Amino acid sequence: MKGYEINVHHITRIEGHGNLVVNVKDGHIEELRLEIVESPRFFEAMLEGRRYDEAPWITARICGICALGHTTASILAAEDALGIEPDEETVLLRKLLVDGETLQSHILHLYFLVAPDFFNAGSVIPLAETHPEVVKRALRLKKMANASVETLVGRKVHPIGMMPGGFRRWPLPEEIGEVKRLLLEAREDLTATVELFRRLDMPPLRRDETEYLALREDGEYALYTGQIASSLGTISPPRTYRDRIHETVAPHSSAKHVSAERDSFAVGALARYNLNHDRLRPWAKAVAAELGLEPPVTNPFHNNTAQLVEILHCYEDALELCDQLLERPNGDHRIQEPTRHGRGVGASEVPRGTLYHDYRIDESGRITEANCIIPTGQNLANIEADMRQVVSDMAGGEPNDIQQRLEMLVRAYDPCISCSCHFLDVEFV
Amino acid sequence: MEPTTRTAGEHGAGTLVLGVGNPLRRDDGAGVRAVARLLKLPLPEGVTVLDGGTGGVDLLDRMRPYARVILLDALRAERVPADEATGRIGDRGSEKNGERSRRGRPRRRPRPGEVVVFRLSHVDLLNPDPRFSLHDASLGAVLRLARTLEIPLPEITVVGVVPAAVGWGTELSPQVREGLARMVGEVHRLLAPARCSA
Repeated sequence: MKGYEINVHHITRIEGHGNLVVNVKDGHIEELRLEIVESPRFFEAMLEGRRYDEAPWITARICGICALGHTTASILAAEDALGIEPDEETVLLRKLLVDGETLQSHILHLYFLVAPDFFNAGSVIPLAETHPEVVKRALRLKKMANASVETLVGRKVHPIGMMPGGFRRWPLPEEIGEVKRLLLEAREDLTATVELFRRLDMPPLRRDETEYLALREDGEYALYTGQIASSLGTISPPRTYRDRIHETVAPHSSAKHVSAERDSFAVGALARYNLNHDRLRPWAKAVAAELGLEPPVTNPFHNNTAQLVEILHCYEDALELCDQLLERPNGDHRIQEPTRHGRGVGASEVPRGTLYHDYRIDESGRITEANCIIPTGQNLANIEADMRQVVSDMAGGEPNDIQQRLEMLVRAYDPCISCSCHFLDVEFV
Repeated sequence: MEPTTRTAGEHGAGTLVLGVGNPLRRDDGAGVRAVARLLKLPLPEGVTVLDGGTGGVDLLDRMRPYARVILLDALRAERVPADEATGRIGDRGSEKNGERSRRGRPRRRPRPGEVVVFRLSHVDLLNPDPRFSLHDASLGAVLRLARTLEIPLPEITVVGVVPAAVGWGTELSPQVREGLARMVGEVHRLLAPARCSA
């Protein structure tokens, strides 16, 4: 095998920018690393000294896509620390919101970041030139998912209605009815989405060693919260996450790697599918079967397919939750108050995998210690292991083809570097 | 908690004042900070003020219902026009020895904290493609997508402030802290009745 070097600065179409370095000499991988994660330590320092009910809206700014996911994990951590028990309707409404966020994130990832690879388009803009109906459908679906969330709790950038113990304002029955109407209207577009993505062949890749981690919950496909489950059989409560997940410094990388029972693990849609496929809603389950997604699926490119299945699941789940909420009296939903103080852990499935927030809160309600583990950081070591497999499988291939396949692999994980800057870059002409 | 939006005239015409950026990246959040200030001040009828967060493709749907948008953001530009032909420069006075743009207009290097006001149709937004991602869907990419799909958008005027620091943190640099008052002043000037015919 001949030698080659791949150096990609700023992989396009991942959430933020990443650097990819591969150096193969005489058929031997001399260097392979992916640099995509910035440490969330800053947020931890920023939370210390803040009141527990300020934390959800501070952490909402960590990620423009997962604002609601960070809010949810933050609320769960505070409620665990303070002994707050939200009422049943509050939990139902939160689950409906989590469905909405998962829908909008997966729709954008599949249509804007993944689809261009399969249409030989450099980005969604040339795709909009050749297939405008596809991009317009993506925008309609995205708008529907955003509108659902905003109808219930206000702006997605700052889901201001959500807080520990309940909701600042409970949505009116007609608002929940409006969300149901928006969802029902989207059915045709979702059917077309399935038709589009079922035609796309994912590249082959098999790595049976991957351990999958996701939350698991009794009687439902866990997204809002659950127990930490591994594909190797272990299951334990969120508070045990420090015993389950170990941070290590990879000698070749400046980023920290994490492992559980094996050298690396994967979180995200495919991990959730592998662990919880038996709890999917009927349409999602039927489409997964039609697509031949036989669990356990060990090809990481099928994280894209698992996201498609989850879109259908969240759609059906959201409709069911609307009905459940509409059946209940829209009465008094008081915000529940703290009953103790101490340490608490919140674990929630956000679009890219399990998100942990861990707070220690003193008797005045201030956070004295915080820890936050984001999904992309958990996936990093596993992405590199998959990259090694791609390089080995494609030995003798053209470096350009290998580079393209590696970039597609990284995108399949839907990685996110939160908090990149967003200033306008301008040239006056 | 402070409100993040104030709405007047959501249907049809009207003006949207939209602040974007990330307040956890210091000066990058200037647009969002300016919106927070504007929400505390009296504004004319028919003006909606909105914290747009880090934007992305959602900006299309945010902007579409309005006749006019005033976009507040941090702004990176190597050179800005030294005359008023392409827009208004908030803080003139350091014109650079006769340097000119491709169209022959005099240009100069902007200073951190400086506020620059211009119509979006008068500039090239750099790197609109292919760095299109969910987080980083730059305004340039969003506008190009709108153009490709023939989605009509309102007239957009940018009130940008040149950042001094965009590292981790919630504190603005002293230059941009001063610039914030000028941004708010520019918005009021743009919203003055004579210009508010939309």
